Amino acid sequence: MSGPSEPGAAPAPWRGASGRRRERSAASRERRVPGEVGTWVFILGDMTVFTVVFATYLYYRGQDPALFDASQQQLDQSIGAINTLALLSSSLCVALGLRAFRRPGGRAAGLFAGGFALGLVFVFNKYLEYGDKIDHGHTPGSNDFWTYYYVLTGLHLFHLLVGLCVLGYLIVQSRKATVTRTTYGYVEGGACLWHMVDLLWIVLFPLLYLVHGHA
Amino acid sequence: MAMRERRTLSPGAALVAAWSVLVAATIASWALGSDHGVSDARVASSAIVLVAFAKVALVGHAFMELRDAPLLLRGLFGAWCLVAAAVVVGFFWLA
Repeated sequence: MSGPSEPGAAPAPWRGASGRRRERSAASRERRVPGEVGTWVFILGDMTVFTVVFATYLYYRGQDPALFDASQQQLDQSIGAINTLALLSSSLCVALGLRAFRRPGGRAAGLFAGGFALGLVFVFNKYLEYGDKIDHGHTPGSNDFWTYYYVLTGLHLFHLLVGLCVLGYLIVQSRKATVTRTTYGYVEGGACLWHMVDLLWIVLFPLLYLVHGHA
Repeated sequence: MAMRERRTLSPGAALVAAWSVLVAATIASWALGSDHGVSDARVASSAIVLVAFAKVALVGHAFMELRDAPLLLRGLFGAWCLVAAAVVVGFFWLA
């Protein structure tokens, strides 16, 4: 493919057969959906589902704030904060990688791999954290707080593991000399899915680890 | 030549700048969550949560490239941020 097939579509930069980037002229800086519409339907839907789970957590926390606060004391805020910084840095790598992907010779694969590695740091920290909690006898059935802790962080971790597979796909595609317009859309959408994993944790970390002292 | 010189960041620098703001906000929230001087816990929690949703908006704007997206999508994302923030903070003050 060497050009946009839909009439009136904003020209998207991707590598054509010659490897040269098609520039978006200043005049044609039209607004376009990053990735695909379907991806955003999923992203917004998933964010809504998480909001319902957050609200449920906050409701039950309000029923017994003393229990929740006492159990929350067992959490290590530092590991939660480090995990937040890891995901923020991972998203930076992926965002820079997407920019590099649009340039011939841009080091997209390396940047996506950096994002992947930082995602693995998160997984490793989770493994250490869960191990420590279980060693201290805090399991999903211990009390309501621990149930929500494991459900919320487990649901997020599942999303992150899927996100790592998506980043793997991005790494593979970014090593190719040319990509189709369809693949280009998938790569953009995949990057957005990864950022969603980041933003879910940005809300989850303070709710679980930092908020305390009241209903 | 352009009639007006615009001193703006390159796109890559803008991403790093957004990341810096996000990191600073994370550290600030972490400090606030460790009880550094706010007497009313509800106020501290509300501030932490509002900062969190501001971070989400920044991730959407800068990393997810919503700044270049159609207004409908930007509106939906922004609406989610506002509604979710209101729901969470609402639980602190109305429970």
